[in-house]
Amino acid sequence: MMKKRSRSRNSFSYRLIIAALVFFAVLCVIPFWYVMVTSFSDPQLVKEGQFRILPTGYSLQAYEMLFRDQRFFSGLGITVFRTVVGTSLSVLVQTAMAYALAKRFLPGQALLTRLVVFTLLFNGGIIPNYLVIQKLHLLDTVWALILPMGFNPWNVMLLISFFAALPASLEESAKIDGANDLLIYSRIAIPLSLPAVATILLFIAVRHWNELMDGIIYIHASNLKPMQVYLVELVMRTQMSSMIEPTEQNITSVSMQTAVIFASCLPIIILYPFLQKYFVTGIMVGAVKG
Amino acid sequence: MYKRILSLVLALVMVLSLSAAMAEATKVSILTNINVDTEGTDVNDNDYIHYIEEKTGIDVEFINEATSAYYPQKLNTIMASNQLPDAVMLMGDTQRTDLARLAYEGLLMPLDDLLPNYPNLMASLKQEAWEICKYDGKTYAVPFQRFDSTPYMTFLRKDWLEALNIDPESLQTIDDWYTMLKRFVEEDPDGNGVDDTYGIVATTSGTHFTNFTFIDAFGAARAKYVDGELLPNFLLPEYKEWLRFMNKLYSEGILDPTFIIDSDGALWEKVASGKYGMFMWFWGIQEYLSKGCDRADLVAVKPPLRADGTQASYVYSSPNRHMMAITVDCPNPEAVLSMWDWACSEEGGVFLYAGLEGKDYALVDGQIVLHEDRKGKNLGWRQLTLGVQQPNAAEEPYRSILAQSFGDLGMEHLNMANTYGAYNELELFCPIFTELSQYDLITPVQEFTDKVITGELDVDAEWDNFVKRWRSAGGDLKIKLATEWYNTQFAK
Repeated sequence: MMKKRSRSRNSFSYRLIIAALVFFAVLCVIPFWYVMVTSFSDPQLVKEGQFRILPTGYSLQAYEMLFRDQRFFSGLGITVFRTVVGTSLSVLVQTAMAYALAKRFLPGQALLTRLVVFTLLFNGGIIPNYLVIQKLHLLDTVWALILPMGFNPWNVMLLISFFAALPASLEESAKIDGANDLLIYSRIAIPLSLPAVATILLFIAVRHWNELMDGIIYIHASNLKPMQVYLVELVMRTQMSSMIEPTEQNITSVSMQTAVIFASCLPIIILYPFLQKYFVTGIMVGAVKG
Repeated sequence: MYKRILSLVLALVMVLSLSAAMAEATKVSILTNINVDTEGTDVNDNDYIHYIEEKTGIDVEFINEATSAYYPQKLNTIMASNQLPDAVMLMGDTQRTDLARLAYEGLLMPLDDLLPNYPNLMASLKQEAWEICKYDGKTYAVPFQRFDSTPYMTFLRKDWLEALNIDPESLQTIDDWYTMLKRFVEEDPDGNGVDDTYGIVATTSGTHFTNFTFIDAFGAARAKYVDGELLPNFLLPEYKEWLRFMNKLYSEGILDPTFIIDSDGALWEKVASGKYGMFMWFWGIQEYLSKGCDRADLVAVKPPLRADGTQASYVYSSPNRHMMAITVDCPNPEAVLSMWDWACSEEGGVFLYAGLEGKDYALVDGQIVLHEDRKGKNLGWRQLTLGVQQPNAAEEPYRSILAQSFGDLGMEHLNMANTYGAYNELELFCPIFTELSQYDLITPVQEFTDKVITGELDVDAEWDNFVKRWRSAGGDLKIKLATEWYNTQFAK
């Protein structure tokens, strides 16, 4: 009797749940599938509005056009560079700051924490930021994309709560064994907070990868623009066509747009499953107070 | 002693010649929104920009922000900094208010004293194009004219006209058009035995409101001086009449019932579907052609007659595509202007419309013959950077160059667009008043128009209310300022 009541693998409700989950999974995949199929279809057929589940008239034309454009590669290079360098730098700065601010005996700790919270709530806006970047002679350099994102008050607040939860006795014993603060930070605090650090790392990396406005505002030279800017340009190009002139005869096709979107999503799609296990653990940050 | 002087003189000569060599290519930076296919090349490093440098001695550096929707933000940020580019591009629906604002803030250079030195520029640009670049009586920008100054055209399906035996020449009055559209809906012009045809397909969005075929025939397309006030077109009783007519088309199923929500993309799907008899768009209809459709399947028609029998027009917003303003910090405005002056010469014009000899065209017996695979390539880039002049499409060399790009039928449509096009001139020439920037005077009109056409509001019951509300929300101030301007221009 008991067995019947518990949910077996063959029960109707179990199947219903599986069906619902599969349905939602398919819903999530459809946009990607659409983009992929369109990018591999014959551009002329796409323009005429034909779309099937499988590519119509398989063609690599869009990708040939894409790889011909040096801006895709320069954009990809910049984006990868800012993501890798920017993320490492941000993680270093933010964990170090949070670790220090988690120490209540630090002189001025309360004031510093309040200053961090202040920047969480108030900021100067685009033009003052632009002036700062300009005066630091960072305009038109990749550092304009990396340095302003080095510090993020929200991430620091998250990390502070995580570091504060580490037992003080751990540190004391390390100190007795002769470790200094730097060693405790790098050998004890960071490894113990790995889920939180990995989450922050993923936040920062995804933000670096997706960030659009700084590339638009701080970068003038087209060969220094990150890939997202190039992507948005391509997507907007078709909307511009009729307003400019009836003479532009090769309107960028939908095929081209989908090819770029797919090519640029691919690295993150491949990377995500490997980082996901950290991501899920990381979301528990602060859920349990010890 | 003598030797020393000689060496000094020689050194001086060397320095002078060196600096002369360096000054040969004047550097000019221009903030632009060039969002067209550059065939994979850098906007600052391609055959075309090198040709411009070779011809004009000016090394242009485009600070190009191609993400159009974010361009205004970039423009505002850069103009707020203390490092202005030499010139900036002002584009889109906000170009005139941008010009007024930047000029008011003292960031733009008045050009009136300089312009007379540039004969090509002065000769090639129409007075109305200049008028739009003025603020407070001074010229602050160079207009980049559309070569089709008024691009709208109405197209009908040729096979439907033939199936119903309608001669497009016979379309004269609004009633003639109405009868034709009614037959499009009721007499099954596509011959499939199913009642699935519509008269007009259109979209509604800002300047691209494509229901404007009839508006001028009702006398509702232009501002008008009535009882001591200069009224915008949408406050006139004529506009009310037009709305009533459009509502009739909508309720009788002639106007596509979903026009209100359709995007431009949906519009072209519908045009290609063959279920709609008429649409209005830019005469170039690139979107239509890019769907693999043939221009010869359409008939371009002139606008209907007004009630008094005179010919109406297709009224467009502006003869300019965009404009370029020179900033106050520009050390060398002469260089910038001389580049655009060159663009107005015949050499510049051929470069604009045909491209580079060898790369884009060949000279055969002195005639320009475009390479088949280069037609339309890079044109957008040249238009946006140098497209100041409006070429005379009826004369050589432009006639043959354009004909090679568009075909004979395309040229016919271009000429019709130029013949039957017009502007809402009083509104166009009326200066922009910075006092009005805090009011939204456009959205309420669009909303009211859409609601009346779709029958959500009854025009007779709501009209007075609409006028009153628009006037009280900043409209009265606009009318007052516009009327004052009108009186200084036309009174006495």
